[in-house]
Amino acid sequence: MSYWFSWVVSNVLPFITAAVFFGGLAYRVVRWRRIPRASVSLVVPPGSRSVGQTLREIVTEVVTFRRVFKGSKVLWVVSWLFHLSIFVFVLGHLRLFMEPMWLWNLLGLTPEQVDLLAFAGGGASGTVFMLGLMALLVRRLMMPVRSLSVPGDYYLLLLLLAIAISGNYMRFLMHIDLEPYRAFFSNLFHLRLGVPVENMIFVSHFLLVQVFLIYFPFSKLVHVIGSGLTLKWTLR
Amino acid sequence: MVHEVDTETRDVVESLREKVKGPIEAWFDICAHCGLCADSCHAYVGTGDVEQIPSARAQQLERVYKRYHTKLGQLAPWLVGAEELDGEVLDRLQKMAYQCTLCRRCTLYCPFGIDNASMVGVIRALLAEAGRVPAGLQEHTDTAYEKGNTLGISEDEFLHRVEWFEEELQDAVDDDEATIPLDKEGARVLFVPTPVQIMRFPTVIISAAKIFYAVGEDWTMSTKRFDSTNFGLFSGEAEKRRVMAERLVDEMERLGAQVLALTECGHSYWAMKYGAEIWLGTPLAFSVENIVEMIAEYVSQGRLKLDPSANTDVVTYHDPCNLSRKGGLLEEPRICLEATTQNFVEMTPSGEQTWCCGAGGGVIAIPEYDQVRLASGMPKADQIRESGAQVVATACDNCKLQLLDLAEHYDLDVSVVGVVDLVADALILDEDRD
Repeated sequence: MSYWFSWVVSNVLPFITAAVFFGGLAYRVVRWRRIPRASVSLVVPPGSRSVGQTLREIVTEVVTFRRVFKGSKVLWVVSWLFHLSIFVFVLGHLRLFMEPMWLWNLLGLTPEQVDLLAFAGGGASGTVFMLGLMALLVRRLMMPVRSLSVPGDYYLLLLLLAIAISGNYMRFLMHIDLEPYRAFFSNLFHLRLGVPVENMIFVSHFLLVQVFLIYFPFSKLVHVIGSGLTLKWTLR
Repeated sequence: MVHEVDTETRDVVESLREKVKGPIEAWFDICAHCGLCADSCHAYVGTGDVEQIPSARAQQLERVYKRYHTKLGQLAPWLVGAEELDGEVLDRLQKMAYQCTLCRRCTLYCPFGIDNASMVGVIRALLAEAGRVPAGLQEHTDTAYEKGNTLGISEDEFLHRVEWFEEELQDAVDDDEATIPLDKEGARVLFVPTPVQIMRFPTVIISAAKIFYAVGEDWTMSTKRFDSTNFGLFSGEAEKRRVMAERLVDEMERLGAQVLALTECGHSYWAMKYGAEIWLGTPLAFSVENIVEMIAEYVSQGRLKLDPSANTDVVTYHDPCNLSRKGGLLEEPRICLEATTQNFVEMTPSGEQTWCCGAGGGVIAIPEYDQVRLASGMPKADQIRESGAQVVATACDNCKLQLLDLAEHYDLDVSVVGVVDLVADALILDEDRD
């Protein structure tokens, strides 16, 4: 039973996930691209900005969360660290797919040092991510944000929390040898059916991540790809 | 089942799809319900009412939209939170849309730059089609549409008032030849006041006349069009909005003026500068300037001699949303005030981040919203008190009326004046001007 479950999560679901995730995002982008411009200018305050200035402002916004800082210092600390942690662990997960020896050589790192770095970066970002989710959940449960929240908002936070907990469990409470995982993903990317990894925590984590990716294009997470566009409307 | 709506709302439902397109679709998609807009909104901060949160207004529109124009909303409304457009929802939408002052402060605080004022504009347009514009606002709009100005002032009454303004001008500048030109064809500047100024704040017009006199401007007023306001913009009635803008455009054409000089008034500047050419579908053949902008220009050109010692009080400036955040006039009023006062202080925040006075967007014309309006002015009242100013200068009737009410309601020891009045008071007239 559990073997077949693992097999489906590892060998079948990923293709569905990829199709829905990329198809969904493509649908969003195409839909937004077709949106006609607002008839009246949305630029606040009005004034002309060059393409360079507009780009600079969008990048500043995306990197520093300036508007959040203006609105609430506490939320800024939480949400900036939260998003930074995502950036860090997404980068860290790339190690499942590749071992950039040239980079380690360039940085003069031994394999042991790389592992230590991964433990520190992954552990810190995973912890910050989990705590950040909890803080966002508490904030959402309090007024006035509670009045703006819909079931989907809670669903997303709880789903991410489950992903964070399963990930942190593997990071802190299990000793993981990367090789079988790399072999598994290598098979997957080469469209070869393979033997699923024997680790139910990993299978659960992988399943939750796929549920998340399938939900992504239909959720508020599209702000990741859409906010540049909507910010541009108020700038230029 | 799906289209079981009464006749009152059927038209609204039909035009929902048409209106909810463009940026709004994307905004619906990405608003993450983070609630940052809540604390940026004077109406929510002042009243504590969660229905005043900008995102709440947008979400109400989204729920109705989903119910009729998305598959999931039609098949399983409970799943996506879709809501039928019944009387109760219409009432809620009315409150949400017409108690918002369209100040766009939330746009600056939204991490994604979502423009909630545009969404409120859509709700207003829908409600106007359903005949749900609040009574006071509808009356003002209809009076303006039918009689040419919001207070229904007749031409005779206007001429009578101008005669008195002219006498005041002559006294002030000590020149019997000083005039307020009327319907002067070929004048460079057409100055358009508001009915409220004609009846209640006449010093604005007299001061403007004094300044025009001092710089020797070639200007005129019109006996046909002496209302710069655009209540169609507030009510949400696109046709009335267009007609009101068109009247000023036609009058500019008739008189052959090059500059439309709009008086101290926020929304009329936005309407004529940014809205008119879109509503009329053609670029304007003249430039649109606010009187404060013109004065700043005169000051910069050295055409006005001003005495800053004329006013020794601590003066602060309230940025009307339509002039600052929405209009881009941030430097100009400050140039005027620096030149006419000795103790100018800024409120925090100011400029593009100014707190709305709480009465814009037509709210002041709706008596049943008086309590909400006064409560919404709380952030403004607080920052006025903190500034320590004795005088609050501003450049908008609407703000002025609200600031006077706030001073009384919140026990602020301040007087409220127009920028134009302060400039006129500080004017040094040459003895030997020709």
